[in-house]
Amino acid sequence: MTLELRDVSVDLGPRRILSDVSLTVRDRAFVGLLGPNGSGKTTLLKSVTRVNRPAAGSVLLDGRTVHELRAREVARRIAFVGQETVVEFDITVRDMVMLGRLPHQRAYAADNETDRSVVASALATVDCSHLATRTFHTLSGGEKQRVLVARALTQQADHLVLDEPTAHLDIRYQTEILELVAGLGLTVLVALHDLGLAAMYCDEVHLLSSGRLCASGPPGQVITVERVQQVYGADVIVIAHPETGTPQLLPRRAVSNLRAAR
Amino acid sequence: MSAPVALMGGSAVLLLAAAAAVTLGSVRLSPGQVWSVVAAHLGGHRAGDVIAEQIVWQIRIPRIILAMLVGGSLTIAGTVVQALVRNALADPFLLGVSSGASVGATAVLLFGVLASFGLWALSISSIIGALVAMLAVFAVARESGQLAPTRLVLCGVALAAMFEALTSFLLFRGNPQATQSVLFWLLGSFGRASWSHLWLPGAALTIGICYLMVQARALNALAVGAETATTLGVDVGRLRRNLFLVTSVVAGVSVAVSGVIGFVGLVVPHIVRLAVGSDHRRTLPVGLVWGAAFMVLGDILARTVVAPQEMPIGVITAFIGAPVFVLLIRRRTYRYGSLG
Repeated sequence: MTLELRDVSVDLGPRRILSDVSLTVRDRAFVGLLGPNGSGKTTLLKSVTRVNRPAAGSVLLDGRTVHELRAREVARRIAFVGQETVVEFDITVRDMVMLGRLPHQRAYAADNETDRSVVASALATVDCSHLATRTFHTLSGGEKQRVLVARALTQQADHLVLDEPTAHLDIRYQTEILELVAGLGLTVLVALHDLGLAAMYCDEVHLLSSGRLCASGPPGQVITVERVQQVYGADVIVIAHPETGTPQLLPRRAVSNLRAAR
Repeated sequence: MSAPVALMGGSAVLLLAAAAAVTLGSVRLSPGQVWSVVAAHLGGHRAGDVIAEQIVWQIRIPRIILAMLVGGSLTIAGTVVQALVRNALADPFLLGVSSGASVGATAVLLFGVLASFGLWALSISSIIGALVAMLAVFAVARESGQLAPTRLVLCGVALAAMFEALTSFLLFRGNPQATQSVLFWLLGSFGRASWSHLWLPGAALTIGICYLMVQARALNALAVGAETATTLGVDVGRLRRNLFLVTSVVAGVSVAVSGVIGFVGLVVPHIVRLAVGSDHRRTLPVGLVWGAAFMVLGDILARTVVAPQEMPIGVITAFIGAPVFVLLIRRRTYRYGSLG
């Protein structure tokens, strides 16, 4: 029960976005994907969810290539939560979550009792039962993100792939969504912007730089002053979180302005 | 409004409209005459009253059925094209079929192309025109086997402009008296309806609605987003291709039998979504019935307001559809694309 990328390269148009990336996501691990803007995090996730087809290499689910499996079969194994979706028409929260049942349903049959109870329990899990009849686009960013997690849960997949689920959320909802995901007991692959949050939640992180994997391992080993300098080009101080002991980043001011700041 | 209420209400309106349409017309027949013809045919034989028989059974009833078929076709095609390109302003003619069909129809009306097909020449040449336009848009819009919405809209609009220029050129070269009939055709009419004209739009609509109902859930996912649909197990590339083909054929056949009837395919889908929400398992069947009812009502007006002359149906649908639509949009909070 593993998800594995073997020498995956992805081209978008003439450009190579991802080059020879190999990594393994162990069963039930919480794995973070890190890297600056444009380093290929989203492209990598899309190759896992079959949106992008690799130009070379393969994405393997239990040893079988996901791009050769049936789409519905993959959708029952791998669920995806994107960055806040813009939905252009009225759809209720319940209908939005019900879409997650698509890979389990026959082409034309009404939603059955199982579908409805799976949707209800997914909404309860993300604490959104009270929003069921609301229109999706009227929700706040944090609520939308939780509803999309509920939709992923109704797919009853054992792998959850998330693309920056904390983007545009304030600090309460950032930790709330990651606590929620961490508590599900699923195999998680998540792209994250915030290295400190990643360090708190991930068992293992992979750091991408210009489409190549440049470091993998436990957050404490990957997130170092030198790597952040080298990959992000940012000057930081790394300290240990007082409660978790995981690395946290503090930005620094330019030396020349430091005196003025004091 | 719940879907069963919308369906039953729509069906009731449709039946009343059809009943009114069969009794109204430029030749005055008493309701007794009309219903005795209908009753006779329901009983499996012809009516004794030859004039009433001819008018009711050979002219009015096929015309009502054609209006229903075309109204339903344009509405479901519009609903699907709006979801396919995720744009509120999309209508069934956006992707070029009507302008292609116009070229074919103009060629027949002005230059007698395909004259050996007799009465069928107009339908056949419009269908050929619609198919050529559809295949041209499909070929141009395709990018590594995919139909991306923006590209599809832009290519559809560009090719439509080209086909419209071709129609204008034919009109410019044609005989001024014949251009009148082209104008009339372009604005839409059910005046040519006969029993032998019904099977083609009937078959296209039946096949189309069956396919679309099977794909209704996938269509919901596609309307939320192509990537979402992919991760939910929908083969988005194949679905888009099939939706494009189905809507083009359904709309193209409608244009071929009745001309270019605007506004129905744009407005009725929005009115249906206002009433029953945006789940395609509801909007498609409700749209079918409401579109049919709208068109039959429109055709009643087309036949009566300037009787004994006939108003082009396209004029009526825009005259009624536009204000109704504006009222609804102003009264309710409703969101679809740029209307949000």
